[in-house]
Amino acid sequence: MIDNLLIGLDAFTNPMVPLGLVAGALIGYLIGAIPGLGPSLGIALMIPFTYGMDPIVSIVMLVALFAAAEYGGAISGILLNSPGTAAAVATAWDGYPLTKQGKTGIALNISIVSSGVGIFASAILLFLTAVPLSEYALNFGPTAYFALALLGLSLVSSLSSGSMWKGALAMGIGLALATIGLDTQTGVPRFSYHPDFFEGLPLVPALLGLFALSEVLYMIEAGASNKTKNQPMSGILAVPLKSFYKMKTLFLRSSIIGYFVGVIPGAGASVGSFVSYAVAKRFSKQPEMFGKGSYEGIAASETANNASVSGSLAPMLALGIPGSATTAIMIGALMIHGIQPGPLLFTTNPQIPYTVFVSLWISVPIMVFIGLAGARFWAKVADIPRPAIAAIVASISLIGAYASAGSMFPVYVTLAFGVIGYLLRKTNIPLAPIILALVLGDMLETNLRRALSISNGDVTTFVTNPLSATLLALAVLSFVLPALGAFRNKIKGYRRQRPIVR
Amino acid sequence: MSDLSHDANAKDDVVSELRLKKKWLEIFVYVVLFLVNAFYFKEALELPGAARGVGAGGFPVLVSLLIGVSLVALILVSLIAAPKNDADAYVTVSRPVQVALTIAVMFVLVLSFRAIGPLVGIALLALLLMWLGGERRYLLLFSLPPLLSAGIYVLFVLVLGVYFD
Repeated sequence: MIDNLLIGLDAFTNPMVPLGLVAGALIGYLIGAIPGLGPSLGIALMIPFTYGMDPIVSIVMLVALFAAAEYGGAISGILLNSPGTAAAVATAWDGYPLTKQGKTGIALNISIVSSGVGIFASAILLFLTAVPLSEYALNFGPTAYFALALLGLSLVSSLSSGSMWKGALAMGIGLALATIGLDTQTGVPRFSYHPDFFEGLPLVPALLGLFALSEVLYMIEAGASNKTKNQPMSGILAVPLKSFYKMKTLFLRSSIIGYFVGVIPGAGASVGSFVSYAVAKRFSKQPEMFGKGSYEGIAASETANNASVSGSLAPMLALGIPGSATTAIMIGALMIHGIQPGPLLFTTNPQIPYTVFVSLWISVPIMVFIGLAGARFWAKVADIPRPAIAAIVASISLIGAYASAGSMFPVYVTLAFGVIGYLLRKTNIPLAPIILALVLGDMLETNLRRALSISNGDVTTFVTNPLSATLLALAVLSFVLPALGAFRNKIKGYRRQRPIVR
Repeated sequence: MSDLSHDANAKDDVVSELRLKKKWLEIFVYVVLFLVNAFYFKEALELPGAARGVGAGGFPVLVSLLIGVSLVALILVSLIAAPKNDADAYVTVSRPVQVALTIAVMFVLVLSFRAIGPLVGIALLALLLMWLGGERRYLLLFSLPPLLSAGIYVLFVLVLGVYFD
């Protein structure tokens, strides 16, 4: 394992790799600091720029962007009470009160340093868990892989939407889209009414449409926004190291919570930060300070939401199963370079996962420096006029789609998916399961067909294998339990509303 | 006319809001999806099967059934469930004229990319989108689009080697 880590470290002797890391970090901060734009959109927009890059440079850049967007999301939350990402909401609960008390610099310092600690500690956990997980996954047969992919999809579908049926519908739409093209096993064209569709629905243009162009339409809806009033920033370097040392247990606990929540498909950074915040409040000596400017509150939220970045990379790298829309998009980026994440990645292309581990560690001082040194600049980023951002995002999306194949066909796909994505968002149908299903659809179908072919069409093969039976049971539970919870809440609500008859 | 912009000179000409009954919008979307799914199901049934296991059409049939069941459930929920509050009962589309025009502008410009060239097309697209987004500062309106186009040329053509034929 140490040899492989050295391979990862060796990648940084290519000057393009550290350059990619710094570029990813800068773009990530920029994306994160703009309220409404998140890591998913940032990565989708960056994919077209990676077409001609070395795969290692591109994955390092995208991972740095992912992490930095989580760092940057806190900045507008602390300064303006308008978090750049959903995962920074809990940070704003204490960060903004500190800003109102004139302690903006302290709040930013704690958030940036805590983010760094979260990334560093969780990258160790990633290294320790992803490698054994990938080795274990090498023994998976088609039944286990089918069940695993279905579990990943079910969790994301059920957790990303308030409605079980909307999640299932989104999953179905994504799977249906994944069946377009020549059947990989028989070569029969399926739902391909034009030769352009024979290779399947192009993933990157679909991503750009669903995430980027639909967001452009939302920006047009919002119009030009009011100018925000930036708070004076002072004391950014005035936090004594002693304060951080006092929070060492909190850092460790929040890193572990964030990492393991991040591993669960569909849970994501925001759930990690909320859980960590609640646990930190429970264990704090000053719980009454939470929500009023607690340093611990900021540290708990920021450590966990950044730790979940590494957490979400674990199933992606070790199993090839994306746990979120962001990692699904990353898989799409790797597939462009002919790299299929999963257990074989650690043996066929060990430099990819190990460079990711090393890049997470190396990124920490760089990101903390960029965050602290550029705090004033990042604070102003939220003021970039929305119409200008909309124009930039739309232009990059359309040209990026063109560049993916050098033809107009992907541009039409992007445009169509932009409108479809907008309509789906208006009806609260989540986009994350669509993307995940698009990425996992082929794997799901191939393993289903392989398993049934081996068993001569006997469907009980999925329940006679203990591992696949367990995973399938979990997949069913992931749909049923939230639905039961919602039903129970409705009954409770009904009982509360019913007049008491004596 | 209301001033939504952060600049005194940036004024929005058309500020309105379209409120649609969520229930009917959802049912409309579900019915459209149902019809598309019915077509998908029909096409899936025509795909060849396999002697053992699942053929080319087996998986799409399963997916179609999942979509169908979800849509029936969602249509029923939309018809039966009462909205929690007024905000939950409506879907609001702010600045609907601008949104519709944005979609139209993107379609028209993308279709004319071959005639006018992607770089001129992008500059034009950026200009129109900024204007539709409510930007009225001429300096920004006329400086950003050509800069964006030039930036895209440098990045994609000179750095990444993508050519627009």
